[in-house]
Amino acid sequence: MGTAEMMIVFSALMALIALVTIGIDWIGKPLKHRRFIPRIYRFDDEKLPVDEYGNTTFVSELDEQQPPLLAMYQPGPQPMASPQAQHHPMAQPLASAMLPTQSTEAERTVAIAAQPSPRPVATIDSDVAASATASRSAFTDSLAVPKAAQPTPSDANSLQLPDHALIAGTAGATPSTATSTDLTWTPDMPLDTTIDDQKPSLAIKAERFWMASAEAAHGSHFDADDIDQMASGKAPRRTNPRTGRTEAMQLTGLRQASVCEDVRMRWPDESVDPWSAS
Amino acid sequence: MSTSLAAAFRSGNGRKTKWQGDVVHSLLQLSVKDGDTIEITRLESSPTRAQALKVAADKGSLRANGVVVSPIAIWTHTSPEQVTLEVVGRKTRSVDIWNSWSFDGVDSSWLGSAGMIVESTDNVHTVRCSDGLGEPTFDDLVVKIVIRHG
Repeated sequence: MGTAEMMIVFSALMALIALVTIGIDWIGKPLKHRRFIPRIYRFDDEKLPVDEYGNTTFVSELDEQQPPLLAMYQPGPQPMASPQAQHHPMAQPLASAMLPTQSTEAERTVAIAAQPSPRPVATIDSDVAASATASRSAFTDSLAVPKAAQPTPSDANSLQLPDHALIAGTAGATPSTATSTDLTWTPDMPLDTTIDDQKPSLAIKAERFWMASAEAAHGSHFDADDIDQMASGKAPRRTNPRTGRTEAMQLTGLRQASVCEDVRMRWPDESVDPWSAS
Repeated sequence: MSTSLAAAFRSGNGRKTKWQGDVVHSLLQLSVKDGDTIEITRLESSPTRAQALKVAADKGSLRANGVVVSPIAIWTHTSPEQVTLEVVGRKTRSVDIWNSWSFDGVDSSWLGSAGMIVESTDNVHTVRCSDGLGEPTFDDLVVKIVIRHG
């Protein structure tokens, strides 16, 4: 077997191994709409953070913790007047001519501002992150903070995370604590928030819509029973005296909706307004 | 209480109940037959929100503004003050009438403080409607209904 043939066989073997590896990686959670995240990004120090919408993001809180660009800015070589030059007749004019330049450069340097991270990102304990790979979601993304880099309790105030900026798919990884790593939907979040790497079904979106609408329903024609029903994620109901049956309110536009304003509520009604077009 | 009227309807047969000495209807049923005409005149309506009177023929249809359909919605912001409906259908024996209102773009009926107080003399019925919001006030929509047998 010649060298060329050996190279071809070796390449084919490598390609086969790569395909098998990708296949094994892929068969972790055979669900629709899931994203493929190579396992390399799921090591503890390379966990992807989850933003407020439940999506992974590459912008991390650590960026904010890093020193600003100013601190990393290395000014260029500055002209230093040598002792000989100080005694040179041209030394003073030269030095005075160069000082403003330094000052201007320094001002320009000060004007450089560090880009703030637009979104806060959750951080979890590295142990928790390590266990996240063994959690329900094989593709859980998280941002692990090494032990040494973890904020101290005194830093906790400066690193305030929103309640919803939690990590998905780590249910059970930590027992119920204040820093629960479960990403739970709250009424101020979009209806189509992805949790645990799973897009919400239509039924879950409807549930979320009713829960979000329950607060706004106070003072409307919905009574306490209806509002309780909505708060528990169920549609309000009414009794139709014509049929004697109970009817549930219906929703239209829910499938594409992200916010409650995109959804229309309606009661079952077939009435027609003959004057609406005239 | 704003929920008491709805609760009163729920505790009864759902079609009418007693409320502060008055009989309040959630649904009014009037006897008609094929060829009869129903004249509906709007006497008063709340400017706060759109109100409607809905009319549905039992086993038949209604002709209004050239359209034969059932149920018909007579909204305060689209219909003229006086409309005439013609009963179509040989099997029709009655029409159901109830009030409705629009709140946040939602057409609603039979909720909260909704109800109708009906005063009838022969074929003339004055219907005073309360929509479902706030306390029951039976002046959100006031209409006069006259049945003319064909």
